[in-house]
Amino acid sequence: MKAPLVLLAAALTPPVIAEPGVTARGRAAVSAAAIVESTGGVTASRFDLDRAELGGDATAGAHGIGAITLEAIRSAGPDSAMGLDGNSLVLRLRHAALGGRWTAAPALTLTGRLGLVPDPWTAAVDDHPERALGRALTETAALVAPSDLGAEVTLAAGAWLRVRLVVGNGEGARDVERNRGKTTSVVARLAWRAPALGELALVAYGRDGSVGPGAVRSHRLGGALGWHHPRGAAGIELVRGWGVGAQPDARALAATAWLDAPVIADAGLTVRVDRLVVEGGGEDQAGWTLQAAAWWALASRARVELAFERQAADGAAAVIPGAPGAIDVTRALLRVHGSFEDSE
Amino acid sequence: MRSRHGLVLALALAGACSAPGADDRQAFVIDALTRDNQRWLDRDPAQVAAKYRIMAARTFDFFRGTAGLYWRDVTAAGAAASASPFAADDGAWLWIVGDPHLENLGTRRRADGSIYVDWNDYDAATRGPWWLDGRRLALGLMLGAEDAGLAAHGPRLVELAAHAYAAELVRLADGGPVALERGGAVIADLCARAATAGDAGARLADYTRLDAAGRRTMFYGDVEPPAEDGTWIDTTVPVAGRERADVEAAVGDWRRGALVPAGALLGISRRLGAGVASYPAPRYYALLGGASDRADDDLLVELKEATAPVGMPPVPAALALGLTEADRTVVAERTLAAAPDDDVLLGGATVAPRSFRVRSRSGYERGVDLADLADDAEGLDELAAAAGRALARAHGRAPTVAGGAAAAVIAPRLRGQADALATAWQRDAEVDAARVRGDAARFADALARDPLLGGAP
Repeated sequence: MKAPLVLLAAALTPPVIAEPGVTARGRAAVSAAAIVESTGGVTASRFDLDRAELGGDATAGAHGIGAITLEAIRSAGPDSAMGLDGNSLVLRLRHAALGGRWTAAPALTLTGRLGLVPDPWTAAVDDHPERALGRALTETAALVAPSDLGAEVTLAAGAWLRVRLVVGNGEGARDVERNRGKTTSVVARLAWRAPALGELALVAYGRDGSVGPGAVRSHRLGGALGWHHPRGAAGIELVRGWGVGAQPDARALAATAWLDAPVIADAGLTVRVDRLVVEGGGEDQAGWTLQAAAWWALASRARVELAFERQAADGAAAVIPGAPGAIDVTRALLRVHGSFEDSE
Repeated sequence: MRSRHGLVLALALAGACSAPGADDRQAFVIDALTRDNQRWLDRDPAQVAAKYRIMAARTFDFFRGTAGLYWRDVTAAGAAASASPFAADDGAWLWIVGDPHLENLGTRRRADGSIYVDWNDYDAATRGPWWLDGRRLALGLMLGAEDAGLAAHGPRLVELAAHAYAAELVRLADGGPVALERGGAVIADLCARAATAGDAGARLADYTRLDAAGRRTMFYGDVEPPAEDGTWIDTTVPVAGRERADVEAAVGDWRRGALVPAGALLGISRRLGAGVASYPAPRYYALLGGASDRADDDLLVELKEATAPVGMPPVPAALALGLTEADRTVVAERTLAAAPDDDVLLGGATVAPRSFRVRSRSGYERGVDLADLADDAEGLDELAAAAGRALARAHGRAPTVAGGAAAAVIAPRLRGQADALATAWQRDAEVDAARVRGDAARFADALARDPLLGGAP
């Protein structure tokens, strides 16, 4: 029963907890930017904190495991100033789960957790340091919540195969269960490593789900291919969605391609292209986002970037039909981001 | 151990199916309405149940309670999203009324005592595409005609409103002066009744009483008794504890930004039974002393808790208003109203996390009631044209994000295009009205199964 306290301690104090039978590891991630953006004939500048996360994980005894992550979010809506204490940044739980791990064979591990568990797709595509240019498209487009109240079972065979099953409410962290159905997500990750070629990973994803009292369908099918090597990294991700937000008849396609390459020691380039299409009963909504950055490494997992970003809608397929330029945005960003873990 | 783990996994898989899908459109209606009313469902579900009963009893009230559905449907990839021939990038983020319909028209009083008609509800006002604001007006006219028993007359009302809108917009762009809506038999009658009620101190008489010493105090009770099913119509109740402290703090906050000083706070009540879309939103009446110690110059102000407009297209960060919800409605009213300084008591108040729009409450403010226009085609014609002009004034006079009046942006697309605008609005309104009728039936069906649509906290 010490595990929750240990987890909290892990979140707040990154150094390793030296308690018999317990090991804990802390981590933190921050992404902040100075932004100049132009949209609708207006140019404005602002500072932004895109990501601030603090958390940790722990093992206790032979089987006990747990993890907790806090994140900072704006407390008001996007067009409002009315949140907590004005529009303050507030902390909320992003993940909090507790469970156990069993080793069934030398390379076969079964893990089970209950709580606010990470979405397996987001976890699979969001856990590498090259995710420099923001969160996964499926998360920013609200096709997938970053976590859900539920149960998670993971079966891992060495480093080459991992299958994760999550059964949850489907409402994410914002709501309790609101219909009779449960949401089931499965992600399988198959990795192949060769010293000369690096690691090639294939991720497959499926979800059968429903959200809200109307039991709006929320089904997803996706895949990703990623390559990681000391000389660079690249990936493509594709998710098809049936049911978007409150619209059960809407379909979505989210696609991302990214490339990260060091050019000289401690400096390099990152490019990312996102494509989002939402098809409803009327006009489609479709748009592109292009991001490109030159980066300099402050440390092994910390960078400063000078980035350019362009968001544009397709013709009539805009958020406001017939006004594709209404949400076109061009941004220049000076951004710092990094993730830190203790050395355990 | 292994077999036990396997059993747990199998049970989880067996029970993990998503809920069976209902009618897709009904699921959308239920989910969107629940999201839009979540704040009130959490705080006062009985009020939401009453709102839903009102919406189920009359198609026009269903329309009034579902502006969020409309905005979802006509933007993004919604069921009715289609590119209007009048759509353009530079008209996408102008100030709009958000929910312009006939029952959101009402009387206002100028400082010289004259009465006119303009929009009286800016709860949904924000930045957005002007042509979709007009489409919402057209939809309301179609449904308003049905409500008045003149369904076949709907397209004619839309045509009148479109022509009036286009003519007024072009006139303003050409430097024409702002003209207030006073003419026509229906509007003149509405103004006359408002003047009579205001002069007689009608709202003070309704919601306050004079005690034996001649001091004015709040009245608690039925101004109009509740309906048989318990739905409030016009009742006031005392306010105590934390709720009272919030209202007192809000009055204090409002005073700091008020255009005119007001006297001591003499009493507070909560009004139950007002509006449709905002029926569950807390509304308070605050009685304030006037310039003298006499009771005849006391003031009554309404504090209404403000919430964000729902279903609207997301404004880019660089164009975001960055206001509290109450301040948004206040800025919107001062920006969109034909004579923005008429209500000197208008203001915002914040008692975090709540914010309140504060305004005058007197007999001079009287809303249009479609029940007064049953089978009155001429009266509807007059109001439809007035609504078109009022919307044009609101849109045209408001500044664009880049500065300058929006009339200069909209008018070039309307010159010589009044017929085309009428045709576009008629076509969209026919489709939208059919969808609203269908949604109302789906809503009533769902409500028969659960009075809160499954959204009970």
